[in-house]
Amino acid sequence: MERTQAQERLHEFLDDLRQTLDTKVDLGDVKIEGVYMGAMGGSAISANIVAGCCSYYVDIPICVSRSPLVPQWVGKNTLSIISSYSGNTEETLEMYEKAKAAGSKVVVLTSGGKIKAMAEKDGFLVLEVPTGFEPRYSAGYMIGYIAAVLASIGQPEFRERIRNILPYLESYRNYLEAPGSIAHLLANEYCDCVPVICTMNKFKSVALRWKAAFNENAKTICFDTPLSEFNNFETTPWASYKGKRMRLIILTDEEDMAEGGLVKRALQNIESLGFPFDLVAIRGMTNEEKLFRGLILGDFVTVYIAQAAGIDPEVTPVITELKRRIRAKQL
Amino acid sequence: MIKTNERPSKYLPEHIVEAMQREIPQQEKARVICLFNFEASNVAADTVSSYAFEKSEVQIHTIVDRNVPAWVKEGVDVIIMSYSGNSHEIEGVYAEAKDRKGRIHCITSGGRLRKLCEEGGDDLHLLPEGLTNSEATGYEIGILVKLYEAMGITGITEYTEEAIPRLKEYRNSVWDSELAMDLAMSIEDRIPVIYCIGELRAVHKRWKMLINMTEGRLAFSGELPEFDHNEIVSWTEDKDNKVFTLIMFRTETESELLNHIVRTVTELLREYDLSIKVVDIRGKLMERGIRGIILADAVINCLKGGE
Repeated sequence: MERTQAQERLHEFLDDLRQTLDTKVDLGDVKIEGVYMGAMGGSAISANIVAGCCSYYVDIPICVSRSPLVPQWVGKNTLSIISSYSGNTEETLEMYEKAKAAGSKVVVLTSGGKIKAMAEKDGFLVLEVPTGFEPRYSAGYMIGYIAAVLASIGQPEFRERIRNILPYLESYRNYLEAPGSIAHLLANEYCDCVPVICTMNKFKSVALRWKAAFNENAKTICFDTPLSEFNNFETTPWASYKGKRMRLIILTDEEDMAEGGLVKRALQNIESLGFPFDLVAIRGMTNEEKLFRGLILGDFVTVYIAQAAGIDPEVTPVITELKRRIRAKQL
Repeated sequence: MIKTNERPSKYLPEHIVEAMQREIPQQEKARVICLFNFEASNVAADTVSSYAFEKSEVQIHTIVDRNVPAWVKEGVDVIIMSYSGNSHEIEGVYAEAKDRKGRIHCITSGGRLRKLCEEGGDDLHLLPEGLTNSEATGYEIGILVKLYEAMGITGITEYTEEAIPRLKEYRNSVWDSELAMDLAMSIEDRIPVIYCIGELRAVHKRWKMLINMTEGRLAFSGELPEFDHNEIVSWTEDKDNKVFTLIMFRTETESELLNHIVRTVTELLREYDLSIKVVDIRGKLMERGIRGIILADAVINCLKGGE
């Protein structure tokens, strides 16, 4: 069956990643004590995925921010990776200006726009993403570039780990594309609900991606909630919920279901109170493989939902209108 | 699990003042702080850290997880804050941080965390026992302010002391007020969804926690301006958007752009047939966050039928 444009972009995600992973980056002799990654929306999720993976082995802190307010600690020993797919995202332009003013080493990931012109004028490295698609479909390029940038400052492990799992991820993607896959099954289950994605902190980036994908691709309200808060505060509210449309989805690493762990405790709490939920357990050999499988699965599920409902996942008129108003008032 | 005695706290400013009476000896100057916070302690952790975010070169990373990041090593300060001291993750986090030779500081009322900290000879700050989660927040804020000052985040004590009279005045103005009653009524029959800028995330966490724990009802939250890049699509297109009430906090920040974006999106949303309440909170840095927390307590107090 012929793929839609959105499906085509999902298919190419891993190709984009493979293509950019080995990009040569030379930032000179720099001493980096912290990494600040500034971006919004579809461009920011790549930063979250990388930061989530790297916290297990990168020995400098990596902070992801979605705000034009830049932390005061960003300074000359900070590497600032500023990503804006369009290059014209207002918040990101301000992040760029502030990261530059703080004296940090800046790298820009973009397809063009104002930020490309500014960074080139300022003599900062610009890594280019092709134009022509929605920002959320640029994740393959963005993640690959960030991996290359981290390798250039003496942190190559993330890149190595991604390189090793690419063949397995490609097989998984091919499986999800085939009729009858788990992505089709979940799309059928979640086509008329408000999903609430509940995850451990290590899967937070995946929850964020699922939420944004439900919002943008399927035009569906979706929430995320940390499993720790769910266990402490939210089980009784769920037991009292009498509506039909909210659907609790516990999205987890299959290996985190051991006795005594957060997931197991959540399941025991739910069973004792007796309310419905879904458990989506992601399998994989490494943390990276599980996170990427989770990411890819959410993308396919929501694009299939959109397809079945006759919705164009790429069209988001309210965002276009909001951006227009933000720019118009600034002029 | 749910604490049945959970209730809103009217005396947050007084609790902050009481905790700040504590003298904390000067600590080694911090460069990077990893702040683990469990249960409801993340409200205080995020509130106080918002000061450092804007005013200090010390990196503070607030974490609600059992995973100790690889960058926690000798020279990094690790603060473990848990009111009960008995969160399941505490032993693993403590052992790992100790193993990595981080400088450990514990803030708790007791439990396993107190025991570990005493046995390990670490820096221990005790909170009063017998409080609810909501009552503990003021004490946690006060202690954390003093600890941050002792670790070299200068000015935070003076800033907080100076804000206290305004916070008391604000509390008096919103407690049992029309504003609080109006907000309470807006969420009485709908599921509340609280939005504010990321730097005020303690505010949406407090609202959500109180609604979950005192009302036993679902509540959700999100952050601006990220909302504008994805969530707004579903709020304007999903057929069930009227099941919810959106409470959107606006505040003035140092970024004119951010202020402008938040104003623009709240104006645009009014054009859709949504249940939406826009709340302006004033004040700078963490003062505005504490105001948002106080307002949450005032609203939940109204839902409970007032004093």
